Amino acid sequence: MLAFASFQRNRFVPKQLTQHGKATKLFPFPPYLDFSGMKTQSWKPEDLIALFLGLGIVGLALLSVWTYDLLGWSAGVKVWVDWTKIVTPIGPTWEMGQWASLSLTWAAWTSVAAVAIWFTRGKLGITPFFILGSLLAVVLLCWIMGHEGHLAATARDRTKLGLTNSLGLTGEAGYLVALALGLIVGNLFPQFVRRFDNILRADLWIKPAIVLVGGAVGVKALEQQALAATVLWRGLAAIIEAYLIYWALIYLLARVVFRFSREWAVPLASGISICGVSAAIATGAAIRAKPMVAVVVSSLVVIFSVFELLILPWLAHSLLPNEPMVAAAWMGLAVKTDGAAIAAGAVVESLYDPGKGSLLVATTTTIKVFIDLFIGIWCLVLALLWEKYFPTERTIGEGQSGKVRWTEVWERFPKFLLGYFFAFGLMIALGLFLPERMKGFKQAADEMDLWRKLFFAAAFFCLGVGANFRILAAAGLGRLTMVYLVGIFGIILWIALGISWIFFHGVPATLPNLVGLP
Amino acid sequence: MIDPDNPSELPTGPAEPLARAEIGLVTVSLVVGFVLLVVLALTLPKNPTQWQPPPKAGINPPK
Repeated sequence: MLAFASFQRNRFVPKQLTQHGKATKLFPFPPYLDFSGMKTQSWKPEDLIALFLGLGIVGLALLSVWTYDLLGWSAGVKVWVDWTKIVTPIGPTWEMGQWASLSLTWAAWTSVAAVAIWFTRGKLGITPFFILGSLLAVVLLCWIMGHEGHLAATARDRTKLGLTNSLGLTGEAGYLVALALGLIVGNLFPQFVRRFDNILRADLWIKPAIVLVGGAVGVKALEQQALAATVLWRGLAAIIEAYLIYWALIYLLARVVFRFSREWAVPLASGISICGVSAAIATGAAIRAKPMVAVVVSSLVVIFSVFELLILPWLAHSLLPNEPMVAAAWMGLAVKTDGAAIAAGAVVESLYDPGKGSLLVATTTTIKVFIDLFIGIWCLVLALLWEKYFPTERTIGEGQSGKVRWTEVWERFPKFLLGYFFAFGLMIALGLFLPERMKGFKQAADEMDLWRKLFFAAAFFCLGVGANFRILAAAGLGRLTMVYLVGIFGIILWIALGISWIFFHGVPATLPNLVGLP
Repeated sequence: MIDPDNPSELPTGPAEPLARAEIGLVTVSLVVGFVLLVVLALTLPKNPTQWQPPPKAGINPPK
């Protein structure tokens, strides 16, 4: 029988997954896992804070349209060789030194993050606040190190910087530096991670970053409406692919080939085919699977998403050197979990380096967002089917009704996605109303992009921290791991590649009027 | 109930065979999915503008 409602330092953890209020040895609950999907709840604090944070930045950046540049002090990190010329404020009207801009960015980010964590997980003490400040300073440092000329400078930058050689990874090499550091921390210092798991959470940064991508896509849509519509319409294919094709194939694989029970096959199929952690947890809850099932599947998803993130962007770049949009769409369709997928899109963007006006991260995000939209509906379909055909398997938890409620669609809908669509719609509406202020919209998009990248860097670090490879050594996980490996590398990758090719080949990766700009 | 500290309680034994409802769900999903994808692929307009790669970025700069 389910027994929900143990709040571990304000973090929802199903009761039977804890021993005396602490995580078990086998599954130390990677910070990436958000168990709140196991209970139906109209507005999760995590989603609310993502909306406030994302839309708050969109709102402040938008004031640039009316020449009030309130975020212009934010630290715009450039590709650098001279450490005295690393940062310039992103707003052209702000004249301040690089250390002032960097300090302000760090202080603002730490304060907002502390409020976000206080709102979602409870009050921060002095030590966690100090750790949070240090974490964000380390992430900023990783971001700066990723912009070092020998790592980041592309062919376009070399002459300007006086370099003869460079790896050409662009500044987004900072993501990889953050990921590597996160992996080291997560695997060498598990006690530290467990103690500060309220802080080391990728979802805290990915959700507002997705809202910011909505605003940036809106500005791009204003500049080139036909191309933006092309990307959005092609996002429909992703929904069909994930829910109707992947899910069915992986479910069959788990049930027929690997002989898993329905209770295991549903979260496995959802985790591997839809969008990782949140889908495994939500669909597991919809069929009332034991919480343990979704937790084990989610742990596997987190681990393998890091492998995918480390392999797939480079594989895409080598297989598809002239098709960046196919590669970006492929990442959205093949890499599981929002954070890792969008991160993979960012790596793809850095590998292809299409220049200003790139649509690559926007494409990966749009595809992922479209897939996320239907989690609630898929949960309802499964819950109705299970109630009709397998009623004895839908065990009922404390205070829960066994009857399927139509409101579950809304309750399980990831509300932070509303921010993506609101920001997108707001940019389009204002842009159509004020076409003469396009320069201000571009400045707003640059500021949103700056914070989106910083949030991504923090998410990369937290993704690395959450990937505790020791989980793979646990006995009994072999068969689950095999389903995951065969499902992803034997089925999903290649169908996703084929469908991405059909729908995205030949689609330009940059807005046509910006091609050729540095 | 599964004991998370006892790995032997992770799924090991064979499961029950596929029920008709499951076969129906999987079949309907696959058929509808493939049909919709074909319809979408045939109806979406092709984009005529081909992307051009930027100057190659590698360890050795272009001469």
